[in-house]
Amino acid sequence: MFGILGKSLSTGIVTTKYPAAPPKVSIRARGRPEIDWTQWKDARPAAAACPTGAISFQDAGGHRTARFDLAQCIFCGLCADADPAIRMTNRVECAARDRASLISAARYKLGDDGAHRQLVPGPAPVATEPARPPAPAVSSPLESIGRQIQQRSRLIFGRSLHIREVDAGSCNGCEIEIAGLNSPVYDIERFGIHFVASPRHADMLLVTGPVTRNMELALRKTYDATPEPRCVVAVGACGCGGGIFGVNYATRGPVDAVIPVDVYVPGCPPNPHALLHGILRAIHREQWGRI
Amino acid sequence: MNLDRVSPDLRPIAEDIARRFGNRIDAWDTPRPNEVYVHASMDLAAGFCAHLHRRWNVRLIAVFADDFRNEGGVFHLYYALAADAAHGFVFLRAPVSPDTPQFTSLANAIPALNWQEREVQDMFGLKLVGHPNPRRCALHDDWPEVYPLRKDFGLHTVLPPFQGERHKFRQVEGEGVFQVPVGPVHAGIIEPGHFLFSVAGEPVLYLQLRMFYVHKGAEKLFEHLPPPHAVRLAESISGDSSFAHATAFCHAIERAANVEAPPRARGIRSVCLELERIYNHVADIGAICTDVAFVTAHMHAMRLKEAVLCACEELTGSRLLRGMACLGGVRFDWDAGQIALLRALTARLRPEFDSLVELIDGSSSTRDRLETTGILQPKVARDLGVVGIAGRASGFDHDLRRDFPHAAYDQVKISVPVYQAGDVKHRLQVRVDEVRESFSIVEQLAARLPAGPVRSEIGELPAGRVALGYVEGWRGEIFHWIRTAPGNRLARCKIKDPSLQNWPALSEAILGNIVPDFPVVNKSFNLSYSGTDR
Amino acid sequence: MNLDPIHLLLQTLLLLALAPLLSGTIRSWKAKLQNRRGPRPWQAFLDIAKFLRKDMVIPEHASWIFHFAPYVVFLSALLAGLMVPMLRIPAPLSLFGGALALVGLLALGRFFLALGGLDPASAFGGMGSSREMTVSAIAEPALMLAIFTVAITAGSTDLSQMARTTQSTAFNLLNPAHVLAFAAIFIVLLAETGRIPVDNPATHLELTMIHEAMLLEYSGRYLAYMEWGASVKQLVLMTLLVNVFFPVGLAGADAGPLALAFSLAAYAAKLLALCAAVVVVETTNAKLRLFRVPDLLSAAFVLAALALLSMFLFR
Ligand code: SF4
Repeated sequence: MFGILGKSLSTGIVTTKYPAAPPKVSIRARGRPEIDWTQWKDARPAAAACPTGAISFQDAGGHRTARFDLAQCIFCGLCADADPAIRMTNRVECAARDRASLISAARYKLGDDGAHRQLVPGPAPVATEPARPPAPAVSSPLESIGRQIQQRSRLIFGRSLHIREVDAGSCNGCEIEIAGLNSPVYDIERFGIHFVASPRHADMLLVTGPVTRNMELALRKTYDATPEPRCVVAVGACGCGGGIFGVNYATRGPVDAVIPVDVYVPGCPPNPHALLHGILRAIHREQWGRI
Repeated sequence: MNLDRVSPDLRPIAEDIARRFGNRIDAWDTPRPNEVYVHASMDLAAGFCAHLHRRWNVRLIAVFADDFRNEGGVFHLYYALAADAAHGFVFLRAPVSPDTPQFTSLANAIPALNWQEREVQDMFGLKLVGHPNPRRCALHDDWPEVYPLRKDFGLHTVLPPFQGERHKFRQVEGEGVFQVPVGPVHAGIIEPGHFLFSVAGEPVLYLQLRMFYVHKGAEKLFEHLPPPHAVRLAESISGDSSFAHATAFCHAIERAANVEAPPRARGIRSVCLELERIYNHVADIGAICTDVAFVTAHMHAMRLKEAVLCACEELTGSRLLRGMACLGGVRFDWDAGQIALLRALTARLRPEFDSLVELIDGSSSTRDRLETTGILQPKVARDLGVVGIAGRASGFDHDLRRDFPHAAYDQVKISVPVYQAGDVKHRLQVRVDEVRESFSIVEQLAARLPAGPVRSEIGELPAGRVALGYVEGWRGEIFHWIRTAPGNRLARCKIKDPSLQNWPALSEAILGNIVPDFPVVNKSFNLSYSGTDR
Repeated sequence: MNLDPIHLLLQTLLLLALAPLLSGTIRSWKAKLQNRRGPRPWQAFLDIAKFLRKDMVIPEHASWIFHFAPYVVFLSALLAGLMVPMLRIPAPLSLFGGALALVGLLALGRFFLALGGLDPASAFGGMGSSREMTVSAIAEPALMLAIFTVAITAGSTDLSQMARTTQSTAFNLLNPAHVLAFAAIFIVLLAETGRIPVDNPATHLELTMIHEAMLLEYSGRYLAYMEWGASVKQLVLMTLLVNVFFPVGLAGADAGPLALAFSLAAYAAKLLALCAAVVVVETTNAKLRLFRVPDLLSAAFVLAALALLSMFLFR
């Protein structure tokens, strides 16, 4: 007994200061890629190198619309190997409340050889979303009362949040990092955030994985069993954008193809700091210190 | 028939096969010295496997099918056998005609094949004959009559949404017996799967498993990706074994292309595999403690795991070692600073780990929970072909690192911990021993990592090659078997994660234990759902 | 029985306020021993406040019992709390038989808790309920017996009277009967509040749960009442231990504000010491196997029986 207490006491508190302090991420870590849009000479090699289709382009009438979708990116860095205009950063906090804001795009005038001649100035055209079956109606349409709920959730979850984690088809990489949030280093409980065993106790669903055909119904049932107000956070490249699996005979693709999503946390898997950032962002606390 | 290419160790077995079954064998193929293919008809399978097992102690590691109709008008059924003592693999390849799409089950004689044979039936539409339980396995009961791994089934086929009965469980009846369904969504932060307990009070009488909830069509997807992209997919077969799976896949491609990774790359691979082993084992040790509510040890374990993950990030750019594996070697070389960091890591973690183990051993209440819980008898383990940690805790003395040295494992000394008790305590003990072993392997390799390049060039893959890639992951042996197609693509990629083999053992280990002990027994196996379901 | 409305109100408020704080303190201290910062002690309040404002999802097959149970659990614990002297003797409420009524009220709460767990007919709720009843079948008699040890000395089953007796100088706090009974109730406390080594309040594993399993189907307001009730019950048992068995500093009936303040300070100090003991037990032990739990509780029962016996032997 004294041995145990002694070890605990001699080790001391090891929890990070994040978010009051910046995340501790190695400079070698691969976070979000950054594209130098003005210097980008040709989108084709990077698009060919990208295993998930996060970088893609469309040619029409001597113009090319090149598009980068952070939600699908697995941070592998193959694009940066193939194209000097792309650089891997170690920035991991990329959570967004809005799916469209994860997509960046630019338009180029094309040369004869198919390379970019010149960037077309002005706002990048909104690239069309990949075709996907429309999200089926859920028992209580969140969209219609979206704003109200948001206000209410801010009020309610600010200091107490219960999370239900749902693996809807992930490879368990995301689960490793999510489980890490309970470790003494990240200690999510210090924010008053708690993982719970039942959707009925939950305020937030943390959903990973491309939703498989076999898990679709279970995910929807879990969503229905979560009392209002509630929010959904999609985790990982697969959960946000379908990842490397995309949509196929066995998967329905991203989480928002099945239930409405409030916050997207890209990464493959997201760094625990990124997860914390996403969860805190969902409850409007990402800027705060400890309280 | 020419057996010259066969490695000297494997040759006696090949000669014995030739002597015994020679007149019934259609052809031989020896693409690599330790990989022999015997082409014969299906009725040979039972006798062939039984003989090799009896005479040479060869074990069946996988059964799978391959749609060869476009090339040769038939399906192929493969029986893959490993001769551990001879350090080689023997494959029996049998054709199945599309006109009579059926094959004979060996599951009665070899229970380990139960799920694998049913998976072939589900994915290829080859009917099983004589299987004790030929119901659906890989596709749930509500799936329409489709055979996803046939070539005429499109990857992007849109199937009607889920409806109806998922799975008809067997009913267990008796006085005071009731059934407790658990899942597919579990209460903890774990993957989905469905368990049905039949209990009388607290003791478990019978446990039925329903897997394949996270089936993502990965094997089919492999056939549509160029190999460099497929490496990234291999990383997502089972996230906790990202590097092991990716390396097994690279190994298969390298063998198909007859290219070997340079020595430095092999050293780095081994180090990464050991780092993966360390962080998973440490996490499991902690998780086993948390399942018996000894949270203090869990927290110390999590802290150590975090230290390893941070080191992985420093070494490979990813905490789970993703993006590191690549065809022909590894993607990033290590400078002196990184190697120093690696050595500092083991130096720091060794005493920390020892004190963690001391903490657990010193807690009598924890020991009491772990000893004699969830016993998997060695005989049962042998019958079910249980591999990896669970196998070694139940008397199965094998380890691909020792028996089939890959990566740089021929450069280091490896001792394999084997116990007979087969309870949770000993599955924990295997992990403890292996972590210590891993520290020493990392130290040995870090001390003398050969200089040189870390990557060999692999050009376009020649078509029509077959190859087996293998890696001892932290959970057990991982196999990737590929057949190449024209245009630098794969015609088939069969993935064998140790979990698939070990799940049925869980049902055996839990028998007679009480329901609240299930989580800790389950954790002591810690099988991958995603690796099973793919 | 003369009711003092101000005292009654005060003690009710104290019960409601102190109970979550105590649970929160235990959680926070445990976290510190796990090398992490952990939640603030008042986190339990914020949780309850949040659940009170949330919507509910009611399971399909729930009957009136499901709706009724949270209130019974909450109110029975509260009522029991009013019978234990917290700051001052006598306690604001004294119902028929004092200690007997206390044990009876706790049993009532547990009974409805178990019914509430059973009602939606989910497998885990049923499992939790049956486990809870097994545990309480032994814990309850042990509690009863231990209280009787003191009751016999006091010559009354009224809790306030008992506290008064133990407080009097004639009574030796370290006599063996007393110490044994104290130990017995401490074990009962661990069992009844779902702590390691009997249950794990922090677990996510539905198959191992006892208390949590019965709450799995509850949400929103009902869940808040259930959780709040459970923490009040914990406070009641702790108060029983520190004030009836160890009434140092407890103020008398005619105490002035200064004495009351001193009483509060002593009370808080004793509670924190008890919390520390619980934290140490929870940190250094693993959970028992479920079929070993009755052994532990039988030990509590035997301790209580010995206490009673030594009462007569060493008189
Ligand atoms: S997944 Fe992301 S990092 Fe990898 S190639 Fe595509 S855009 Fe680049």
